Amino acid sequence: MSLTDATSDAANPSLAGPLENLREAGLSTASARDYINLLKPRVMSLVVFTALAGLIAAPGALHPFVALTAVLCIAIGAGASGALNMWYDADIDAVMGRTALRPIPSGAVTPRQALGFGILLSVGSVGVLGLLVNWQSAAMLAFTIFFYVNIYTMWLKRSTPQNIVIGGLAGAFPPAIGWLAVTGSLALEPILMVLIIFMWTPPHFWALAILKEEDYGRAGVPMLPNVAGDKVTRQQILLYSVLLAPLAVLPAFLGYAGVLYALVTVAGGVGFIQHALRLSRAGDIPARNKAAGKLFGFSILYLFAVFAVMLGEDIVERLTGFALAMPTALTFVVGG
Amino acid sequence: MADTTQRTAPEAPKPVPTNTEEVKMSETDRDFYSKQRRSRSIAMALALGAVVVVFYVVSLIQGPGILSRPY
Repeated sequence: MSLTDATSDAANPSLAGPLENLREAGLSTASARDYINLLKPRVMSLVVFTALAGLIAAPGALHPFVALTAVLCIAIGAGASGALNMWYDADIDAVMGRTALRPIPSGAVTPRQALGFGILLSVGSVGVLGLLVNWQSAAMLAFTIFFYVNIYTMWLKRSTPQNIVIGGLAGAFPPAIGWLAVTGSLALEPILMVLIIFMWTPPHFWALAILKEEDYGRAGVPMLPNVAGDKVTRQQILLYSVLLAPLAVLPAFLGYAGVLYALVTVAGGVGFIQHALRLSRAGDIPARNKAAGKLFGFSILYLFAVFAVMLGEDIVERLTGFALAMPTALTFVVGG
Repeated sequence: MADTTQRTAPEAPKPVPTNTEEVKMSETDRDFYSKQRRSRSIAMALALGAVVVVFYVVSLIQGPGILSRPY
């Protein structure tokens, strides 16, 4: 976390004294920025991006302003679940270097304020999405918030090393919500998008968990490197990378994406597996950490590229009617 | 047998001031507090304004049937 993400008093230690006086008096010292930080803006940007991909890929038309409203609601719903996650995990966040400057552990926002803020935004985003777009997408958004807060944060995170595998589903749902906002029903294409993010999540987070092993150990979070060890984690990362690479190419061969998407996902998949292989073969700790850091960075770039190309192809097709489709001989026809 | 141990009454919860005038603050504290409160108020006003605009525009787009859904 950079200093620019730091909450107001943590970023300015000279204010710590006066802030304590104000807090003891029961006065809120949080700025609007502290509340924005509660929404986990970086995670939110990924959610917006993938939801937009689902929304644009869906057949049918949605008025641009209604589409914007849908994306806004999905973003706020994701932010609300982030706030609720920070409320519940404040004790863990306080002992981890990566999260110690978050608004609750830094004292800028009280847990009660974060809880109220999270609930208000959850209800608001689901309600507005249901009223102004449709109730199918609103129900899916509500389920996503429930899954992230109750299933992942409250249950899985502290109880199993498979926490981010199952919990990763919550982060994978946004393309399906975007699709539902347009069509009101699901199909194979959004399910594939969800599966791509689902398969991408474990290698992404386990690479981070290897780097932050001490932090997670101190906080008592049973991440895979802490529970099963370094070797098993690296094997699992490689396994998920090998599963992810062909899965990401599949939309092109099913006729849902074009040649450019196929090229990017094939090249990206090879790169992903190479990074995972390097990590699995890394000898000493510095080499391992370097490989894990590179895989973590590459995984972000990979997911961005996959959804950017998918989104780009769909936008070009919608605007110009031109689509550089895969040769028919290479595609498998699904459904009608 | 009489209880000779001294019992102290439970400490009453500290009342939360309803008016910032009740809290003794230095000039710096007051400036900082006002600045933070102003930023929250502006953000809240912008958010509420955005909700109103969104509802208004979507109502115009969807027309009178906005609340009647087949599903």
